[in-house]
Amino acid sequence: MSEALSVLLVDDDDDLRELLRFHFERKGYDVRALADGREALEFLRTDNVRPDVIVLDLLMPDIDGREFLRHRRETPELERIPVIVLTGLEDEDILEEVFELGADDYVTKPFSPKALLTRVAHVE
Amino acid sequence: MFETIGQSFVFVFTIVALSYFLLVNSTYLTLTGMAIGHLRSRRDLDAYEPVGSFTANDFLPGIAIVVPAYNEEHVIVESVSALRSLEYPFYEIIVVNDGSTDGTREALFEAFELQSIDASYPIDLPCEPIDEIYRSPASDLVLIDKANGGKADALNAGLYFTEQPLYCAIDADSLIERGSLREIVEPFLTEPTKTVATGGSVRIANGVSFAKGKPSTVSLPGNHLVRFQAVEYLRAFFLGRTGLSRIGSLLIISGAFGLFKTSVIREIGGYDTESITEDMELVVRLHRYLIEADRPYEVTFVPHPIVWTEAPSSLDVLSRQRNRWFRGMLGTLLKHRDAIGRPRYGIVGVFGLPMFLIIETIGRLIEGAGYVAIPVFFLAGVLDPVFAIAFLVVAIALGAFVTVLAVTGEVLTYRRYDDPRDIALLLWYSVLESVTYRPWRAFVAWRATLSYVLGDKSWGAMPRTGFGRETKD
Amino acid sequence: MESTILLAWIGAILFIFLTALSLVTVGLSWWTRRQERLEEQDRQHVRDELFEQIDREPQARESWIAGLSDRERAVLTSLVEHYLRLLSGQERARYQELAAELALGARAEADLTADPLGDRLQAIAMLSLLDHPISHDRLEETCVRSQETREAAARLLLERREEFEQPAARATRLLLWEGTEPLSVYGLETLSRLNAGEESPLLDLAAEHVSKWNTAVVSQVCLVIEHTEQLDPGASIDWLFPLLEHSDPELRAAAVGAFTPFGWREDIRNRLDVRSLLADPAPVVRKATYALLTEWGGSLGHELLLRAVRTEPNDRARLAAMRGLHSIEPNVPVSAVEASRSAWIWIHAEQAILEGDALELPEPTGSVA
Repeated sequence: MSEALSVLLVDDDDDLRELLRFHFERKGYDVRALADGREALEFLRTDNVRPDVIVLDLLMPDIDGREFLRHRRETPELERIPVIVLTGLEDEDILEEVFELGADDYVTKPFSPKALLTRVAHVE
Repeated sequence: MFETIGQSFVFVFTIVALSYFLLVNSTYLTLTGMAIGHLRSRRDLDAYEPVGSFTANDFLPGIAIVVPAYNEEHVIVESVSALRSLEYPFYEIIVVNDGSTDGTREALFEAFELQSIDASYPIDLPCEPIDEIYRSPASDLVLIDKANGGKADALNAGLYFTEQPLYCAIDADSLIERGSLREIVEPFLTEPTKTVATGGSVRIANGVSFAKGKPSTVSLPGNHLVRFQAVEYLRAFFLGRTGLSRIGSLLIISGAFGLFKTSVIREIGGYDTESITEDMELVVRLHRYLIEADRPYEVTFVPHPIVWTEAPSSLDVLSRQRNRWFRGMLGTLLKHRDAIGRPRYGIVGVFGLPMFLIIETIGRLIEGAGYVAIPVFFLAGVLDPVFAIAFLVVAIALGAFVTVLAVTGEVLTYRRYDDPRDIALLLWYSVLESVTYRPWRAFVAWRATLSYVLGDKSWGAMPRTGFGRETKD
Repeated sequence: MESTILLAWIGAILFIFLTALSLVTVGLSWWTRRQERLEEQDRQHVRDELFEQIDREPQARESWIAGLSDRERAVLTSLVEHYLRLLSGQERARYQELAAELALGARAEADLTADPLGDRLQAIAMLSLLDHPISHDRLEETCVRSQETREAAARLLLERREEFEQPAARATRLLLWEGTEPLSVYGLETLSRLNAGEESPLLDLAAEHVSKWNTAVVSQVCLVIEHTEQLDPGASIDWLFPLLEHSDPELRAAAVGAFTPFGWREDIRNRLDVRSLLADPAPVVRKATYALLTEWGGSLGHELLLRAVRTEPNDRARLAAMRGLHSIEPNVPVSAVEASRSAWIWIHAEQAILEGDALELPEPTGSVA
């Protein structure tokens, strides 16, 4: 019933990455977990594999979430990949900005991993 | 008769010099010891994080990071890029281009989408005329292009321009860690009504590689001069200031990283453009103003290492830097001399300012004289052996002891130098410092005093490549 | 001669001390680094084990837990705390279960009476994250002596509000206490969350006690009210009006801000003497009034802001008035604003750049202004 999706996870919190990786892999998904926007963009540029969903943190070093969304918006192949933003920021202006930058969903921390998995399975 | 006068002179001079060595080193010993005790006991408190999302807190004060830039074309883009990913939800970056004659502006235009705001700012900014103000639509970045006026002037432009309640003064080449803004704002969060200024702990960036907004490997570079500065920074700028802050006598907030309440700094008229160490002068004036107004306030030092600057690696550049610092200190003390020793100014008047005068200024000069005269007297045979040994004890050994204790303090607290081999090196240089670096600094102090007295108010004879950073090697 | 020998001895002792201290320092550096590395390794494998174990029954986990070394336990505790702060829902409940098996709640409760403040605060924070039963009485016994612990206890009541009676009222009382100690920015946020929703005990508490509170505290209370959504619509704010005439201009300004969420109440709108506020001698009060008018909007706001941009003597206040007017009525022609001409031009020029991208400067709430 659930297809095996491939997920790109971008978050600078080590522990969070590993937790989500565990959850995604247990559901049979293929997971790539990276620590910031630059690594994510490089991964997306060099490999031919396109993830089915991207789960994206906002506050990250180097290239942060918003910057990543901007780059994604300028690249048609990337724009097709749905993005779920997972962040500790709750500001309503940032929420607006993030959706205008092309995000498909917005989840605030603290969050439920189960709910996130549901969203990942049903996004787009 | 001549001999007795000569002997009396030697005797009196030696006693005075030795007393000074004892005084200076004991004071630093006390401050260092106090600082270590304070930091150790606070460890659990510092590790405590209140429950609740930090980034979702709407009551966090907005911060404007003011970056004064003069001919910084090589570092400005990297610096501003690093500033854009700080872990804090509400801040903006204001770069003030102080009439650079190199490619600073062009470098910024190329890297960031800056567009000109086709209008003049409706509020009169107390600084040199502004040419143009730019902002980037995609991020909170503003560039103020103005006529040259010096670092103090550039800072004034930024702090009078912003509408944020707090502003942060940094150097264009300061390397700020990602978590630094959050660290330095902490006192403003725990004591929002009283805190007016906080200073960050400066570490030496030479030999440190940065990745993802954090120092990834911290090691000691090979340069001797930098190693001496490394131990000096631990003693004076880390533990020394922690100790002083603890007793309410923090008189200097490093220009490399300081956070201030915008409204209060405007109340005191901003930075003094005549001063060559505008960072110290501002804080002293701030203390005086608030004490005179009878307003409860806090000026706090944040001991957690959060800003890294490139230390001079050549004697030339270093001596110019220290020369400027010393002349600046003289200037500030002179300007605020009526507060020195006055109980009216509380601990700042009774301890802070006198400490700077007696220990950092006069003490340095007398030390300098002592380092030269006493060995000379000894070699000339006119020095009582008691005094010769006393000199070795209170000047060399005790001085070394204080610096060694500072290294111990580093190991007991933040351990940015975490390689035991680097620690061993630092310890060795702590001992060497007493016989080489410190006497040299005292010599620089004498030269600085001489130039000050002769009316030199400049930043340095060589062409500047940036504010107070003097020419890099 | 004797003094020479004495001094020589002192020197020798100092030298020995120096050497000893150096050796200890190097040793300490080496040892601490080693500990750090071991802990790092522990963290990796404990975390992996944690993920395996978290979904199992408590009985199945018993042996694993019992077999943990002290260091592993410490690492596990830190991980559990980290995840409790990060997660919600069913997953969080599982971590709370594990925490109970690790007796974290019991330990935290014991630490409520520990000596160092840091330990007590950490204990209260831990209890906020767990479901370990803790009574309000116990909190009152142990957490009221300092502002920091009161704030932490208030947070606990917020996080676990379903388990307590009148959590909002009690927590609000803890935060304000005698009204003599200002709150931290964390406390302000807690206070705001507690009073958002159906009941706003802060307003009732203020009505009764505001005259006893410090000006700094009152200003903070006003700030919280200004930024809290959905306050109790029936609560009385009569006590705010006298503050508008207080001698401290900062407090007057804060009080003006506190009226912001009440713009929908006609009785308040009618009672508030906006015109006299606009004539207040302190620019900071006038500025706050412009912000209020901007938030309230409407034709009155438009009219008064238009008048203000023409007549306001203070530069910054005038710019604020112009910004406010612009946000209510973007199409005001420059000819209408007279004295605020340069402000009008500036705002429009700024907007022209920002239109290209939706980003706007985040609004500071001025909690330290």
